[in-house]
Amino acid sequence: VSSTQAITKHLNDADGIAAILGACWDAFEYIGHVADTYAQPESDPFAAFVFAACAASEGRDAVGRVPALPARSANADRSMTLDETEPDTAARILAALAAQAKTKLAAAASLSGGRAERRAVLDAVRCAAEIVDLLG
Amino acid sequence: MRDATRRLAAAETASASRTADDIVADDLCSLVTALISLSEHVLDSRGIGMDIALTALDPWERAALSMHQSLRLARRFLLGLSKPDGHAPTTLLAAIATPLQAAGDLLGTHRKRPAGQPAAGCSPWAQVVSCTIVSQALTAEIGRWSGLVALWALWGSQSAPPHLAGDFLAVSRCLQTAHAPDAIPVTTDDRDLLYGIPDAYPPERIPPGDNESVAELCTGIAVTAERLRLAAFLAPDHAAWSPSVSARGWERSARAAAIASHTAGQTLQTLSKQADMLGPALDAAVRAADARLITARDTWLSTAQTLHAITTESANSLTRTAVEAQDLMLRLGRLASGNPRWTPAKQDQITEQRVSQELAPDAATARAVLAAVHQAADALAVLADRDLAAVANADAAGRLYVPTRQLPLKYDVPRPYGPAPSERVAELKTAYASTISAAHTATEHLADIATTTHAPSRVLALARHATSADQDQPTPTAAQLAAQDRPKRATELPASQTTAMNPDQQQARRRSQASSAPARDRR
Repeated sequence: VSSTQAITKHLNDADGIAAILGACWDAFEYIGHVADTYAQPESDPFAAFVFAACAASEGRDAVGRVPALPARSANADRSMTLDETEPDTAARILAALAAQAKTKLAAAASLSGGRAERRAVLDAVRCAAEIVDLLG
Repeated sequence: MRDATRRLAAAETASASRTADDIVADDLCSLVTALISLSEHVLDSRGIGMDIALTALDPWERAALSMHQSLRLARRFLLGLSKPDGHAPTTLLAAIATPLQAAGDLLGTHRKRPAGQPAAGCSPWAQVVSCTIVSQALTAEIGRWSGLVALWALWGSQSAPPHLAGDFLAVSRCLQTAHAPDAIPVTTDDRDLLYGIPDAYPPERIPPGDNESVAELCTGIAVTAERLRLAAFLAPDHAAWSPSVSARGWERSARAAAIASHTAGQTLQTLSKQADMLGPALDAAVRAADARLITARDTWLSTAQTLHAITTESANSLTRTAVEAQDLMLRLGRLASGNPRWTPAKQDQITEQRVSQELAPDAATARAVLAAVHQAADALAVLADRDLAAVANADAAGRLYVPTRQLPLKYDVPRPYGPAPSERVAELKTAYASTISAAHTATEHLADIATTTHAPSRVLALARHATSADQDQPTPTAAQLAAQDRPKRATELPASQTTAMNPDQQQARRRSQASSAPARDRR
């Protein structure tokens, strides 16, 4: 199972705020690493990958502000690579992953308790949306 | 100051057709007061007080001091000539005093330190405003203007009642003394630098529009670069306790800077095809600058990638510097691509760069484009300097963290964040140091071309030259100092300390002499 498949499945299976936040944290971390790998000045979507990695860091930190986030990551030992050579395809894969995270986070926003938590989750939704806009 | 000079020139031209009745003592007094204020700016910035030994001063500093004294004497005469019932300023002369006074105030704003700001001044131009070259240029200008005002005072004596004519003549003589045209060595470049110093307050933001022309983009880049320099200089995250310390803000700035350097390099590539517009044999220099920008891009990117692993308490990414860096990135992307709606999004990718004839159809536009790239590179170099300082401060305060979820499963840390490991922080600082080196090298290359081609941004090169000239100035040896007839306090310093003093320290010493001496106000 590739990293992308594992993270996609993790996102799909996530149920309840803690599981969703954990899956989204991993997704953002993965998107950030892969986007930086593909941020090659010679390739056309260079700027898009550079800024997608930025939005991914911000999304990860936003999710990290929610106390419901589980302490451990199921993907901490998984490799952060994407077996894809075409930057355009990589961009599409990451955009799809971000779109999935965005949907899940939007659902989690309604489940989050406090105002600060809800705002953090909505910040993460905005970051996921930015990645979709950049790479989609 | 340009406004004042324009008005002075207009007054000089108009004076030929005016009668001596127009010369009113109150207006002359306002003008002289404004000149005194500018003169005080020079003396303050050089640490020159009335109680300092003249032998401790350079010849031009002596001229500046003498000029100040002459102006004060002229004002004393003018105060005696003023009408006791007051006077509503109506003449052309009165209109010159206000912009001159404003020029003095604006220069002062670079040096006044608002609460909580660094002691180096309140703008990145603070050092320039106080440097020798600018002080000399300002002194020479005060002298030139004094010469004009002396002429008007002379005309005033012709219309004054006989018992006052003598006082008007005395004013004219004082101002002629202040004139001293040959006492100050000033070049055209020095004057250009003086007049090129921007306000200490940021220009108003020009939000990137959807259809900006090359000229508008260049203007927008210059404005944004100035705003970025100021924002970086005054960024609140330089205080270790600041709630604005934000790794995400640094990362967003670094990524915007990487893309800005990339697209600026693309613009130079295009410009190199039209390098003859800039001047003969400049294509190689433009290509060399492009290569330096590419190096800067790579180092910015490496810094951003290192920052990814670091977290701070604040997650706010839209800091003032990040917003300005993004504006700069957008405009440079649009300049390079020719796409007026370019953004970093994949759909706006640069498939084709702007054609060279469109980017630089004539020499003036080519210089404007070069200046825009130079402005951007200079601002990004300042950003790198300041962000490294902010990172170092946050590190010293123990405010850099890493999320523990990033750690492999074998680590069991019960907290969501832990202190950033020292090796990771060291890696970040090294990345910033490389960025600073690359960004400054790129800026120096661009400064050389801007100077050669007389591009609008050459004032940045002149400013750097002026401040580095002060730092390179040879300091007098202990023997030279001892040979001079100095006040006792100056010679009480140990020889080692005296020889090691740089110009700033020399100024500081003068200030301490002035403050420890009996207080005698020069006003």
